[in-house]
Amino acid sequence: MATFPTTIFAEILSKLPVKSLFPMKLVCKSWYSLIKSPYFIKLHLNQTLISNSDRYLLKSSIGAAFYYAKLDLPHNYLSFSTLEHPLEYEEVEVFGACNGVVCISNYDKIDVFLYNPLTKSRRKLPPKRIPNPEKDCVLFGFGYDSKSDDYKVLRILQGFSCQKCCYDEAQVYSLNNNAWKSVAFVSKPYFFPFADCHGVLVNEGLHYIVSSEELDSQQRKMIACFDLRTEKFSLMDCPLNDDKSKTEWEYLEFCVRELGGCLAVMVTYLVKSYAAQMLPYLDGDDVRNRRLLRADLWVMKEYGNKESWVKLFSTGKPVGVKLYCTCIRPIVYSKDGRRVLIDIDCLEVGWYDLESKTYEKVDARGLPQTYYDTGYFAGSLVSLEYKPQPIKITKNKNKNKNTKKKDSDRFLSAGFKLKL
Amino acid sequence: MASSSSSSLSRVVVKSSDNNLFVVNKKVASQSQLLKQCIDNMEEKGTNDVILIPLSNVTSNILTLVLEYCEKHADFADDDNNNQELKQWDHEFLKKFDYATLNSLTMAADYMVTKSLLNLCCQFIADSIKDLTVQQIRQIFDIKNDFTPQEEADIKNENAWAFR
Repeated sequence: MATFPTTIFAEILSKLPVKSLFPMKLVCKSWYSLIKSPYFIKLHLNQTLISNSDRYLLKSSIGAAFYYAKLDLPHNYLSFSTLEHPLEYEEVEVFGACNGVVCISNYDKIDVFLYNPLTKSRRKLPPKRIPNPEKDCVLFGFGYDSKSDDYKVLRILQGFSCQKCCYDEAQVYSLNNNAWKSVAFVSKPYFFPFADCHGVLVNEGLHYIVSSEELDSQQRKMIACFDLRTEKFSLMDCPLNDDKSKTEWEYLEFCVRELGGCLAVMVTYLVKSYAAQMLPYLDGDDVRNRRLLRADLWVMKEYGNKESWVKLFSTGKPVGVKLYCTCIRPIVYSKDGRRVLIDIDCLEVGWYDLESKTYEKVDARGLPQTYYDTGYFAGSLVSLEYKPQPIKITKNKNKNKNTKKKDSDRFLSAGFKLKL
Repeated sequence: MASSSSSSLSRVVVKSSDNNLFVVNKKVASQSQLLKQCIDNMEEKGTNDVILIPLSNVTSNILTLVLEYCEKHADFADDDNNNQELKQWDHEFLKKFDYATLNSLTMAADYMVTKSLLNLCCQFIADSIKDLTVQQIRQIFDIKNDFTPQEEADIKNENAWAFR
């Protein structure tokens, strides 16, 4: 039977999910070196991103292990299993995911890893000290910079004294350089009010909600964007919210997310709840103190164009939800784009149907009941070990078959030597 | 069929490797970047003659299939890519073939630069080999195992967890 040239084999293999590629390495030497080559890793990544396939949901929590489940399976439940990781302690905080790589740490935020959960490839970042671990607020963000073909981690440190931001700094880690460097911080008087809202990656920029005393007094917020290519901060407006005459809210929350590659902002309107009047011991931050009036999900259809904010949906507590439901967060579109997976109170996820405006809880099997942060990633072969010499890719071009084979053999044996 | 206009070609004749001639409407031929390039070049020269494009790598039975695909896709050329009817048709179209035909069709799509057909074939082949054993894959593609047992063991070791 006839066989294919390598370029077509590459096309075929690039359409396989990561887990199906592992056994393919055993087929023959040329497949082995193809699958390991930077050329194929990029081809495969692009293919996966374009076809929006091989997607996984991630669950992390203070009180539990790290879990993942494959999305887009024919059945309507999610089957979670624990995810091994290189961190010292079991519980994991996820700072971001990009191109199949997640940026994780323990809750102390000292040891930070870039980690490919499917290939187990990893890189430990040079550790950074936190001057006042009790008081300081440390935020991260992680993404890819296509201009310099580099993965970068942003680390923001804010020191508070008497609830006022008194010192701050920002550094960027580059995977290519394996080093941190300082960058100019977003200009005063802005600060990052949320200690657990890490950068949201859209359009190669990391997005955070920022506030200032002036904005606070007007019940407003803004979005700060750190462009990974230029390594500079800029500010943009949040979509407009209703004033109190239109919607009688008492609390207003803004949360930035990424949805379908677009910047999205969840605007949540809340009021004091009945429970708060009955149970005077509840403090202001207790979720039971608040009741959801309405949550609007805004999506910026065309990045950077503030005329393009569109309200994707607006919902009260969805019918069928048994939780308090004060916090609704979008996670990801369904493959057909007709539904959005939403997280409710960090306790359950379900599909919100954009057409029928109905909610359907998703059964999460294998997942202990507790509060989780939910994210997702697409499977990739992206490698975080020190980059192999680029000799391979350049030599493969414009050479006849025999030399090519020799090259791949040499590469293969080099690989084996490294293992020993 | 299409009427001839003085300014541009409406049809081309494509010759298969076994010397069969196919008259192809321009819109259909344009699904192949190779044919489209030939047509564009001729139009630039301002020729009014029907041109003959020889395809030395494609047999007439495979060319028939490629043209069947191009014809269907030319009908939907103005629709968006997400047309469900077309997707269904694509699937039914490929399902009929044995591996040898699929192989030749893929090579022809690559040669004629019909990107969407190449993509479709590759996806179809990928889906069909996804759950096969290494042995079965070697058999299908006629690949010889050139690993030593030690190398094989090392690779298995490399991703031990993945073979569980």
